[in-house]
Amino acid sequence: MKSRAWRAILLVCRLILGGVFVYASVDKIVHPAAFADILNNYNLVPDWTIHLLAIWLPWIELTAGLFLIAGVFVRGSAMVLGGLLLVFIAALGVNLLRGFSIDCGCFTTTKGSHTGSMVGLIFRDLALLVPAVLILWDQWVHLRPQRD
Amino acid sequence: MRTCLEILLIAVASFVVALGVNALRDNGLSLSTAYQVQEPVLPELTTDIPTVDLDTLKALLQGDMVMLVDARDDAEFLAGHIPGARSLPLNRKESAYDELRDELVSGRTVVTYCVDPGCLDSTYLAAWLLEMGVGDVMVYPGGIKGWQAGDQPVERNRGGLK
Repeated sequence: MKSRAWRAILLVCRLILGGVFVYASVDKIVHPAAFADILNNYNLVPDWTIHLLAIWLPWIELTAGLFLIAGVFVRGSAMVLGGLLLVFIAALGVNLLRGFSIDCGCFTTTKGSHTGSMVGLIFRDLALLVPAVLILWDQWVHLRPQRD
Repeated sequence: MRTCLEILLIAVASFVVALGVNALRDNGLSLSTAYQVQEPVLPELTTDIPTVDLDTLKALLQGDMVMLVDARDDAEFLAGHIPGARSLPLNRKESAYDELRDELVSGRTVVTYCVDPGCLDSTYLAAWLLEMGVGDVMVYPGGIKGWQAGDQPVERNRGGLK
């Protein structure tokens, strides 16, 4: 049985994580070509995948974010968004090790708009992992009998 | 199993919507052609930007009379640049300009360079800096290759890169 406080924490986690990804998806959906430029700047994926990712990735963020806010497919949505955060952290980390400073394209496709250091961006993504982990932990522990 | 189905549903639903929206919109991306870097919109080349040769550049640098600006991209800059140069890559000139604005408008002559005389990025960057109001701009056409051909050392620090 979950306490009222724990349910409130989970609701806040869902709203924060879902809200952040919904917000982050909008500008990328509106400006797919600019987002393709940003993906290219990461120098991580082959050219032939960039258009597909630029089209698809923002819609994954939007869909999973809306599901999470609505409380639908919570486990799957949290897994998707948590997975995306791990991918973003890895992509930023690789470029940090390469010595590159790149536009992260996290919330806007406007060039030169990211603020703060690459390390700061990684810590921000790590902080966003916290609500994802809490949601998933709740799903796996409290809803264990419903699993599968 | 349920989690996998949820993830699959999110992936498929977003994929279908994404492709549908992309097909219907005017600025949709082509899935049949690979990504290509869009050439930046550049000002028309002006021919009256003064140039400096290697000996003049060395003298100006020794007197600390110029700010040297590298127009190549980040990776090329990190691989080696003229000592003391600051990085202002043409492919992200707006953000780099913001980072270097105070130095660029400090009153010193700005000298741009890129790879070699066949590389026009330094000239494009110089023209753009003039448009941005940087008062005194020159080009070193020899570029990093001309510098190295003159047995000059290169530096591998970050030189203004964050």
